[in-house]
Amino acid sequence: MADSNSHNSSVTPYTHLGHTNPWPFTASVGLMVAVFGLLLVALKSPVGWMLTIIGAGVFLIAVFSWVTMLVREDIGEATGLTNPEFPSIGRWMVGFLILSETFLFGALFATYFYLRNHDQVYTGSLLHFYNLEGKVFEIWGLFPILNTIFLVSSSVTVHFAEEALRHGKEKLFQILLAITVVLGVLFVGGQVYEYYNFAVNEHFTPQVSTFAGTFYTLTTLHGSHVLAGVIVLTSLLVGSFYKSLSPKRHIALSVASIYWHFVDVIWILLVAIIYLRYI
Amino acid sequence: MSETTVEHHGHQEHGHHDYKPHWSDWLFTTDAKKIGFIYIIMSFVYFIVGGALAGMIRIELATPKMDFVDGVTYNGLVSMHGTIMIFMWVMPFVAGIINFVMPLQIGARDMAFPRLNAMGLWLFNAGALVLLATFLLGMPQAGWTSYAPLSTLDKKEIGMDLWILGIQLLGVSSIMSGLNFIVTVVKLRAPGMTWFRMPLFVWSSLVVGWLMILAMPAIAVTLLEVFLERHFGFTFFGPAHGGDPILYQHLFWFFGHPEVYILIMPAFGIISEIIPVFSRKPVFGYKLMAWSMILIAFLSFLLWAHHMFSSGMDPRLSLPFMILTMIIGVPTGVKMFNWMATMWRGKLYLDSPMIFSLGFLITFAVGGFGGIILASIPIDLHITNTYFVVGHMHYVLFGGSVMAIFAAIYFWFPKMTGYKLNEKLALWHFGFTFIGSNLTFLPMHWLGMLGMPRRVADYDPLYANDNLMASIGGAIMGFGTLFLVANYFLTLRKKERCAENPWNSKGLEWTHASSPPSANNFDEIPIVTTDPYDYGVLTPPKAAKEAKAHG
Ligand SMILES: [Cu+2]
Repeated sequence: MADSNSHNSSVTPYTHLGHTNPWPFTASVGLMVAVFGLLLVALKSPVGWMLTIIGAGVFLIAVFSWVTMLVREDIGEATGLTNPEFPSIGRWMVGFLILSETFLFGALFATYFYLRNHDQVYTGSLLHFYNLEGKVFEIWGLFPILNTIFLVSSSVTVHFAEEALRHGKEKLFQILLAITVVLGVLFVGGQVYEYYNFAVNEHFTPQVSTFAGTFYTLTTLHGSHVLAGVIVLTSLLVGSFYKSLSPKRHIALSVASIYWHFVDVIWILLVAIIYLRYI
Repeated sequence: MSETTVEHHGHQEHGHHDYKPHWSDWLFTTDAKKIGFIYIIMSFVYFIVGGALAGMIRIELATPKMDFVDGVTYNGLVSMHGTIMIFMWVMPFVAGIINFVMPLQIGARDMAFPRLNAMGLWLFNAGALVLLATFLLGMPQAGWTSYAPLSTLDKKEIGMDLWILGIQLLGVSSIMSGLNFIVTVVKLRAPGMTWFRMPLFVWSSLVVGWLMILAMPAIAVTLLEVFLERHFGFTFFGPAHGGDPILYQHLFWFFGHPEVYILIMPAFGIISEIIPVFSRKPVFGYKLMAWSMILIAFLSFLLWAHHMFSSGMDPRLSLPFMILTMIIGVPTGVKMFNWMATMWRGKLYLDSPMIFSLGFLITFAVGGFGGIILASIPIDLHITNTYFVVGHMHYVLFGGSVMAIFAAIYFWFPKMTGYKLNEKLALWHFGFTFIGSNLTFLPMHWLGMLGMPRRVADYDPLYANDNLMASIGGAIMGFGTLFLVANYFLTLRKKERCAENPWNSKGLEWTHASSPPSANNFDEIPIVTTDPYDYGVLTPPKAAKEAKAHG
């Protein structure tokens, strides 16, 4: 059987992984405990926050262990084996994930277009671009411009990081990846500052209009995707110091980079549609 | 399951021969078969719970007056019955049966992403527990559709929040499953398993995967917006601040209609597997069957507003949605006729899976006709939100999905456990289920025509007789289910091993894997050389042609 296994290895991935793994179960339990914790908070129970923190802690530990395990497997210490089929499986996976995410953002953009149309029909205004005092309010400005620069250039750096990795220029690859991570962090930071500025200085809070609510929901959803990308890229960067990536094993980076480009594209759509109202 | 494995092919992955399963093997498992098993067992438990709720609804409706429960409880019962049956019974059962059967049918050792698969399983269980907590903390009031502003106005209602959070967890779980189904079918097929050699159940798994990854994000966004409106003062649906409740319906049904096909598509796959086996004939029009599934799935994303003809949306939208809805009847009809043509002049064996499949053909046809009637705008405007809709929907979801699920249970039980369910009890189960379900759901059609609204606890005495009939039918159905439960326990206690391939099926899961399958599914990955469903064909047509060509 061992012979037939290796013979058919192209269609028999994962036999080497064993048939158990504790982290999916643990992470789910943590998440559920956190949900119930939040519920108890809402019910004003004294143990609510404690339960939430415990649940979130368990969840984070499980996810961290899971990611560490993935990096270890990449390093090859955990299994001593690589899976020849994984590269194309990983690409298919991220492709379909992006498709699913497109529908996620699509539903929110649909909300935006619907409410904009609704506004025109029922109130005659193009959109409620007003803050609390009813003053016309412009959301395009320095921070969205800076953020656009950060995100677009990070898409470029991650691309060349991948190129550098493929050509075995390890130092260059690590530097470019680090720059990408920094740019991602700057983006998230810029967005948090923008929120602060809007809400506190300009009195433009999510509650003032349907437009404000849609704006905050869309940008936060996008920002959380950037944050997820930053976490993935950071774990790859850390792993690279332990030689988890090599010219022949760059697939994890390729997958992360495809995802990163997608997040970038969503941002450009956000700028064109919400910030600049081109469409 | 490895303790019942006949031949211990799978020992090397455990490292030693006398391997005894540990409890953590089940909780931490990444094996698609074990995951499937847990899905199926949990979903069946929830089926009983959802059935109990239905029983309480029918007790209340047996008489015109509100005398069994109060209005708030009744709303809760209706909401939770729908939620449980859709999200905690049919969907997880589907996920379970696909996990168990589909990798075996394509000659794969596991799903493409076993750990993601495990995550999906436990997120489902977490979400289900969150939803069940509503029984303690107050059941949601807004029905399984949770229309705004019903779902947004009462901000103190904890059951609604639980419902939202629970459905979000289940949604994430479904997206994970969907990704796994697609990539598994695309990438892990055995050598020789070309696209058009895939069994139709595999096609249905692929299509369901697509529906899951594209439909579930819409409900995630919708419920996120409801949550933000409930607790953070955002406005999406509240007309007082510029929102629009019709937006909720658009977003919800963009998910909701494909969701219906998530529930029925695997039934198509199951029936397409069973009928050829018990007719001893290849499935009629195989390629058309595959293409019609793809077409149905594609169209299902363009139909959502047929739920909204009376909602006050732009009336210009109605006509295209009506036409598209009627068009989807064509590929569905193609499937019905192909199943019948498969049986035509076949050698029919009326074993339990086949009996349930025949039941499916009858009840699903009635459900389909009801759907076409509802699709036409002038009729729908009168009977929408009446019991006609309830009757139609239960013919499709009970007479369709659940009937097929029962067929699948009888068909694949020997594969999963190595034991065959008792045929006599199966026939009793079928008789009670079939008679009971028709007695329950058929009168609902004319009740709706007469104007009885859905989701009410008390009604005009005019409707009393038919409602009593429906309640008696419900009791018969519930009693019938006991035969299935008894059958499980009796069969598993008797431990009478059946043949490896009791139905004489030609599917890979029967011919190349033991019953139950070893941990790695196959000793050797099979190499596929023939089409599926080569029944009664001495030389498979393609092989004969190839042989001829090679001279
Ligand atoms: Cu529909």
